[in-house]
Amino acid sequence: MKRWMSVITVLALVLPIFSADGNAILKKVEERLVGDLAPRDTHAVMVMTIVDPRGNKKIREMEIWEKNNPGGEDWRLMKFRRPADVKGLGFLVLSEDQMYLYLPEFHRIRRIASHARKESFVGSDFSYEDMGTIRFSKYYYARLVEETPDQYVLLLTLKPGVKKPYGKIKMWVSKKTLLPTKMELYGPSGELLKVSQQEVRKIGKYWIPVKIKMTSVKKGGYTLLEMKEIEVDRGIDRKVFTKRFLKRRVK
Amino acid sequence: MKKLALMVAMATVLTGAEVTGRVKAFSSLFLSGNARGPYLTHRSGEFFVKRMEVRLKIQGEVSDKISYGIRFDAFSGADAGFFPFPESGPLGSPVRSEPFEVNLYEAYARISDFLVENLDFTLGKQRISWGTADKISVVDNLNPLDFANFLTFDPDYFAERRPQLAANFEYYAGENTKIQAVFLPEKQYSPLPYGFSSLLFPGPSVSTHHPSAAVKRKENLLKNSNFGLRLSTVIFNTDVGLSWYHGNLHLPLFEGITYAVPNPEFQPIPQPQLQFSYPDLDVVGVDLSGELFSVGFWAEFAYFIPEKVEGEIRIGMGPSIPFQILEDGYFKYVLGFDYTLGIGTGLYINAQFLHGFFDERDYTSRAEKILGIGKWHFFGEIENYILARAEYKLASETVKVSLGTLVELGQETSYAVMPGIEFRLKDALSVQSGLFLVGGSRQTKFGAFRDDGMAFVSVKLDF
Repeated sequence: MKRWMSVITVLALVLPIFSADGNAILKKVEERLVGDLAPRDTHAVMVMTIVDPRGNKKIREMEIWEKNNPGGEDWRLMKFRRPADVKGLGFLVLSEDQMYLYLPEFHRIRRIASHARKESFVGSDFSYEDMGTIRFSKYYYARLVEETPDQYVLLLTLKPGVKKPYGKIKMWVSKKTLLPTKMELYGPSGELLKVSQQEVRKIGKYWIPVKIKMTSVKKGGYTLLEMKEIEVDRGIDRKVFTKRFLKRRVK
Repeated sequence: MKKLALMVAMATVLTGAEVTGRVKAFSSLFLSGNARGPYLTHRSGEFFVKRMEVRLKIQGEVSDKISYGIRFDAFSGADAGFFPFPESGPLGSPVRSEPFEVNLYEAYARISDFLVENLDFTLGKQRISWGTADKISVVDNLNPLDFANFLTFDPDYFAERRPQLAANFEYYAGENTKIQAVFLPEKQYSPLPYGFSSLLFPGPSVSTHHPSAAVKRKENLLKNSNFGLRLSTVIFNTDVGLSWYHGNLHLPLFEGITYAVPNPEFQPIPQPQLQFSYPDLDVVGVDLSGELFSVGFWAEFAYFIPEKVEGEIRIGMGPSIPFQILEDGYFKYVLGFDYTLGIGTGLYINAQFLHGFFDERDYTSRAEKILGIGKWHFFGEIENYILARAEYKLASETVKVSLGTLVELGQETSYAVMPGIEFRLKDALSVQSGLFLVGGSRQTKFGAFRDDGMAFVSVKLDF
């Protein structure tokens, strides 16, 4: 009995530490993704290669501007460069529930409600939600479930009352960069939906994800997202993240 | 045409402009015969529209702050012109035997930070879109509706509006607020479909045999110009717009009939002449869009204040009894929502309630009685509609299945159902096919097309 009590006591002491470690590690990850240790702003060209289960490839190219928003989700502006039928299409994210789509053919800006976040982003394996820069700690508790010499493995579970497309996320975090290298994204009922793997590169003083592969486990196929011509801390004006600039043409 | 092509090529090379465009083939055919109209008569299987379209858009920048956009649209009908045989034009050009048309759809120059910081000035033929509703808007009045193409039932032209010559000033006061002033030197007139002038003729209470039509238009004076003002901002995470448009009705208003004095020698039957005009009006509008519990919503309210127009029925030089045609003011509004249901890859649904289609006005009861303007006619009284559509994307968005519907709610009811499917064969190459089917009472605006059900195929290539 005494032995069992000591095991329970040890577990009771250890588990919160693991849990606290998980949340602390997640905080560090977020600091590098969207927080104080992330670039103040980023400008890049994003090339998206969508590969369907039969191996057919489609390519989308966008120009992207991002600015760190201390109060919430990063401001983000995306303008499509190709293919021709979506060229000029623009997407502006000011917060999770303030998004706009620019339709160049009609010179019209439409507000997009947050229900669209669960939809596929331009036919890729990424959803609008995946393309956002959410602060995981706002919606998920993190628990450290495994530690290797190179990586932490975190299990993120939804906080009570929160509704998100992913009920659970398993995240592998590099100890060197403190950025995720792999994520398994599970549905609300626990089924594995997608696997994301990413490569990072040091640009200036920052480690930046430059290649993300998102695989849809159920339907097959994957999307490879590559960031090119990355520039950081250019001092992008807040004015870029407005409807005025959403309408502007991209060369 | 060769000169135009040369000019485009030179401008492109000299300024480093970008040229994009679209090639499109659109064909529709009737699924059943219709011998009694009222708008279309045809046989089952007969083609309604057969046309090729080419769009060419040139865009570029002269400097960091000066940009421009030009769009040419070219249309070619496949129906040969017989005179009485298909004849070629000079130098063997087939132009006479194959009707062809080029249209300067859009041409504008834009100066950013014009005179003061945050003021954008756009001058030229342009589309200025107001409002927050999806497609059907009651505050979007700066550009006339493309009614000519609306009745081709080509979904690309559903409730589209045509660019208009305008001087457009947009001042951005802060991140979310914009003040806009637009000056339109010309009156705005919606193009009507070819051969559809009969749509303008009144209902059965006016007996009109072979009438002619006379159209009154305002003089081309500065004081007759149109303008618009709009303030848009974000309040409580909701996009809000306040607008005022001073302009004219874009579609003609039937305002009376004059019967010429019968001349027993030359003209034994009185000849009626129908009088039309495009009266001025002011439209004060409010529009909103936002979301509640992840459901997108929008609402637009517009109060129309038309110029007082007196109608008349006159026989010869005899006296006419004047009567007011339109009410002093009337409302139109639209309320809508959209949501994506978590079924499979996501079922998108979008529904709107509309009070007042773009062609409708609030007539006085006297005008309705005297002129026979029925509720269900085009350019008739204001009615209520429900428009809804659902879309589902498959196979990594290479296939889109859709179902659109329009229900006309009046004393009598009709509905139109528009199922469709679109395949993206390759990037920038798509094939779309669909049906336009109508049911319900014939004594309704859309029910009158009950025997005009059609199928269409459209192929588009963007470059």
